Amino acid sequence: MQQNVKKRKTKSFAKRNEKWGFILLAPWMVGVILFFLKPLVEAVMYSFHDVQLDLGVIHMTWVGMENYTYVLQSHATYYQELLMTFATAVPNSVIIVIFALFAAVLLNGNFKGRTIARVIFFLPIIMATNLISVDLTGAMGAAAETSTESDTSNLMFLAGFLVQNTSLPQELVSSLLTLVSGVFDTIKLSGVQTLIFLAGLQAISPSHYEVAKIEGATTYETFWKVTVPMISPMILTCAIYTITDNLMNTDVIELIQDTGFSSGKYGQSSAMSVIFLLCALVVIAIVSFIIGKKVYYSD
Amino acid sequence: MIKKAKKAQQPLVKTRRKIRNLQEFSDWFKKTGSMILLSILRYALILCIGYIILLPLLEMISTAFMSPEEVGSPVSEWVPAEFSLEHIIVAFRLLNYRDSVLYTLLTTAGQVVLQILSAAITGYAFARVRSKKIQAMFAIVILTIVVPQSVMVLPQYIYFSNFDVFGIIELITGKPLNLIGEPAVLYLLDFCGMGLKSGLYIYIFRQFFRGLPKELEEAAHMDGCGFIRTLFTIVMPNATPGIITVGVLSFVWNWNDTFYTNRFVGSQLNLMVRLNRVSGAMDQFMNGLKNIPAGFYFNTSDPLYQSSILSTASLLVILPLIILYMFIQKKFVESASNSGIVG
Repeated sequence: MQQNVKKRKTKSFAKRNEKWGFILLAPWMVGVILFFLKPLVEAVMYSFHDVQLDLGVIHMTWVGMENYTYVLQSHATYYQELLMTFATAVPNSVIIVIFALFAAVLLNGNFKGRTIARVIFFLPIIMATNLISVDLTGAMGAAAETSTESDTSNLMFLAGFLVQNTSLPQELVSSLLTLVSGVFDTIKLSGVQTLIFLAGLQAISPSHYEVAKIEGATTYETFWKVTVPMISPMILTCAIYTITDNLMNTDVIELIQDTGFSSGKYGQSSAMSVIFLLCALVVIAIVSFIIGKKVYYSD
Repeated sequence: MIKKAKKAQQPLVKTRRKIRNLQEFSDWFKKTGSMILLSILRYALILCIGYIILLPLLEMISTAFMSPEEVGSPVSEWVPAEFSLEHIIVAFRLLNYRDSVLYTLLTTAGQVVLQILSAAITGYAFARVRSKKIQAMFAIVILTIVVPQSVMVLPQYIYFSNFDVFGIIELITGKPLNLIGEPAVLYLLDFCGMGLKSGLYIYIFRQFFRGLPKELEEAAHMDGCGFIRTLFTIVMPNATPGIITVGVLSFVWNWNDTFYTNRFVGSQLNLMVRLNRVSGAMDQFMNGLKNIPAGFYFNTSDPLYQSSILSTASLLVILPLIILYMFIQKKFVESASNSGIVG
């Protein structure tokens, strides 16, 4: 009886809420229809047409799958660049997520100079822009050409040294060294992820750690058995965010834009972006499926 | 008999105690020792990473104040032997800095306000309205985060070049509007929650509002406060951490964005667009400069000079961001950790 009353009350409240919810969502829903779903459908349509743009008026002639076959079979670079993009973006994302988690753990404890360390670690969020980093490396390269040269030769020397004097295989050494030389890019791209992880670490209740301490767990065990499971939902969020972020500014996108806006081949450009979108969705689905299986939700 | 045994036991107990003390000591030593080691390791790592992060910025600053003859000389790597403002002055003029910084600040601020507003309203609806229809629509938010903008930019471009909503504008003015080149495009996108990374902001606000205690809103409801009024007078004043987090991210990303601004607005007054063009055609822009003060090095064909000018220009472009960050960093770091971006 009591339950019944309660149910009815919440229902009416929910109904009232629903009306307001739709009112609040109205601008967003207009946005979704006009600026998201409509262009998405149009992009798919263009990909099946030969599109000519004449003073802002579109002329479309149906060509079927021609754009797709051209892009995948005859286009000089598209296929390779697509593969390359995914082959670099996915491993990069893994490294970025791991680094971000590591950085967040570093910043989380109570130590002197914590505020300054955090300020510096979040600076990449501010400076994370493609253009500036391009300029930077360019400027650094020109302004200190000698020093960068010596840097690379140092790296080469180190590689040679390692290969000769240890029994490490050459592939391992060279991949490790590319990882090391790409450390700036990793750090530059991991600001937001560090932020998310830090917020997550701070949300873990201290009582979990107390229990682990009383039970005699070592720091290592505590990390793997308490911290990682508690933070696993954020690992999923971060992984998806990182992959999408890594796919945003790539050579393929540039190629797509060039084919569309500079060369005026709108149909082919749309076909390229539809293929790219499908690949991206598949990769994201696979990643979220793999990580989603391991995610632990405490509530 | 018993006494004897006790006597014999006593030294044994003593040695045992000693051993225990020793063990405690070694345990203590191990613990503090490992703690000291860990904290040394932590400081070392933080220093290394901090150095890598700060290095390019410091290099830019050092180049900005160096006199052009000195750049690249091995004698003065960090601190210039003689300070000179030439790089800054040339870059300042190249970017048309005084006008464009104002323009960019104003347009970006407008975008930030609109993005915060739309993301907060949308996020609140998703967080608090427990209706299946609305919760199902949240999947679209995730989709807007995941789908690359570049897929939609071409149809959007065509749409904005003959902008019309259900034929209304054509009825009034006789022809659809051409919005390309107007910042209004960006405002419209931001207001409708489809701007740069708007999906992410909606997500952040939703998570944040879900973490707020419901009791406050229920009390407001009991006292007869309407839904909208509750949102603006009760919830929003308590949402400062979320607003700061989203505000800073939105400001920074809109400031640094070239994708939308280049496509839809392309105004020469936008700093990022300007920098983009300048870096693309350095010679042309440099030769276009007039009234260079006497005594300047100003050699447009020197690649080293060009690159240090470019680096200084980049510094000038992100300078407002750095100033903003300096003012807001403490609040930002605090609120970001409390804003519940937590998935």
